[in-house]
Amino acid sequence: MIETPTGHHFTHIYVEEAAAPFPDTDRILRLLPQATVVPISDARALFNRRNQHFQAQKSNPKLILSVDHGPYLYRGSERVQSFGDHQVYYVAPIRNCVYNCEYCFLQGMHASGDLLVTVNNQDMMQAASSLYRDRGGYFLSISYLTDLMAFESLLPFCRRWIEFAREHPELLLEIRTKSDNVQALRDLAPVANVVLVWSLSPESVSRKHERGAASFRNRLLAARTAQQAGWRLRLCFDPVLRVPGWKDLYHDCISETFRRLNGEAVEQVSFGVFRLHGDFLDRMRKLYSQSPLLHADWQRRDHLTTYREEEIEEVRHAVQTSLYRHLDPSKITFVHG
Amino acid sequence: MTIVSVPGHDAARVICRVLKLRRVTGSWKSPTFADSQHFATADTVLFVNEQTPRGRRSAAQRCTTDILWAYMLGRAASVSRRPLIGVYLGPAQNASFTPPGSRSPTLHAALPAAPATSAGSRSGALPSSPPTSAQSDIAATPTAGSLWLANRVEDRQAGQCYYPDMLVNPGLREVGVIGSGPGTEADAISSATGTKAAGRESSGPGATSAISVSAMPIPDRTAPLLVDPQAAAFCRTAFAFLPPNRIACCELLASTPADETAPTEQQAEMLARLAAELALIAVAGTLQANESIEISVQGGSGRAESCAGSARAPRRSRSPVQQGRRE
Ligand code: SF4
Repeated sequence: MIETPTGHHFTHIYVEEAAAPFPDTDRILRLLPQATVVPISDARALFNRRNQHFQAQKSNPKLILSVDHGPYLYRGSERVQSFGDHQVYYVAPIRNCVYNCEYCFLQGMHASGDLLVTVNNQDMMQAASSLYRDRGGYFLSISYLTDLMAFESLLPFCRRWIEFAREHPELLLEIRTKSDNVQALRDLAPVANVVLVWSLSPESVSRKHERGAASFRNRLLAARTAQQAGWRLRLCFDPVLRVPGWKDLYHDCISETFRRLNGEAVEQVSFGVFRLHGDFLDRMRKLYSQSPLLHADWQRRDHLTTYREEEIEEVRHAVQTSLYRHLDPSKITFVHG
Repeated sequence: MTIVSVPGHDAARVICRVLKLRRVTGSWKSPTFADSQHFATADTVLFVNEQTPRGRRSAAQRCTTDILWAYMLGRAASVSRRPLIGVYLGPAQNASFTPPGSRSPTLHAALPAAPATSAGSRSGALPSSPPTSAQSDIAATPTAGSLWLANRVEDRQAGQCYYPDMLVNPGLREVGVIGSGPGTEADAISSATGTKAAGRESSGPGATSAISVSAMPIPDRTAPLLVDPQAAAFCRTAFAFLPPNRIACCELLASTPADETAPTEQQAEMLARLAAELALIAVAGTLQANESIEISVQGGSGRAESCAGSARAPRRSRSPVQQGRRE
């Protein structure tokens, strides 16, 4: 395998005609000198082709560089706002992720497993800026449809948006990650309205169900580095999977987390159980006929597929009990829906 | 099910020898070879889809080929849970190529009546980093007898473009193909000069609209471009039936339109390996828990097993992204 300066390896880069003149296109092509460039007319048409196999494409994902023509800002659902903030929006500088979590809803949402990268990030920022002018502060998630920090060495989206947040102090910017690439931000001074959120899972769960993502220990070390550097830090244990021995696994995971991190300085913790919208699960099951997790006997209610009510309550109680040992209850949010 | 389509008997003979295929008796107009007595039970099928010089076929012949393809793929696709791959193998119309220049032009086409045509100019800087071996491959000159893997096939006449998923590559160099369908020389020339195809822009199944390659001011990293009308016909049909991860399109270059170039044994083995690797990826996604399957084709073999979604194909172009890797 050819190592690149960023540690990423993509064999092909599909470049939309309109994306060719953008500096980000040039940057990516320079950083991935071994990749073959394939010119395309319309990135979205390629990305949205019917009949693609998400998981087959994940075996060797490609980059698709595109120009986004808007809308740039989307209203966030409850799944975005895990911490009870209001007026939630998200942007999608990248669609799809360098990781491949078995439960990830992107498999049900996107036709393709390739990464669709927007090279006109500036237009997104302008849209975010004009919304800010119109209605003041709001909560903005920039890594809702990807893990942006894992991509940071290739395109510094996090860095750009952090600088953007610095200039828009009423904004609350959330960067959620399962990576350990905090080093990419090491020369940035923490910003008061930027929150870094690490998504954590017990080691065995992450090893089995979060393919490619950093190990639990590395994520924890990264979160500690960020905390020590002065960044606002939130954590989430989501989704909690009822794997064999889950109670002990999550209890140990939470204990280890607060052994390594200063609980006082952790702003908030959210957790939730596995949940997916019904049609997403149907599509994911087709892609993943061998996944015991996706083919488990889920209960479907109001378009949401999840555990049975009593199982959810059991998870809620168990995780809450573990978290109460380390945190003030006001800092804990249970997310569902 | 692996389907290999070849343009003539010479090519078929070599591939049949490598893959140990025998002629299947049946109702096919075009000869069909397989590794079993019947098409329905075969793991590998070889289909000789054309016996006339390329670009000189009548509309009826083209239609027959398309119908045969549709029939073959339709039947094969109905065999559930088997890998199904279309590998198109055919000579380009002419192999008079202009070696790529260092900066521009970068678009190369071989045309029947306009040999050594190279067209299109590009602006934009070259990448500053030194060329890697892959780049050297890209810059390689297509020569007669060489075998190429298409990363896109344009059907200019229909205004569509097809992109097989480039998931595995057993070492073949890549090429872009202008398959202008039942096109004329003028079509091909206008394609080669990068003129956007007139006509509908809407996409067919699995297709996106055609592009104006030469207008792209991107660094000189695209694969060379060949003209092969057959490739478009193949893709039209294959993309209607199959997902792009189960389609590969190969080009074997001939020196003249009438030349029935056959692949070498080594190239046939490469095709077999490509087929086996694609088959592994295709089949791995369909396995039930704790199930595994062995796929063995001369020149390539491997094992796919269900283990939380990891298809175990021979690790050639696998590329897990390294960022945030485990300790
Ligand atoms: S890290 Fe997040 S976005 Fe990426 S695959 Fe996992 S769940 Fe999906």
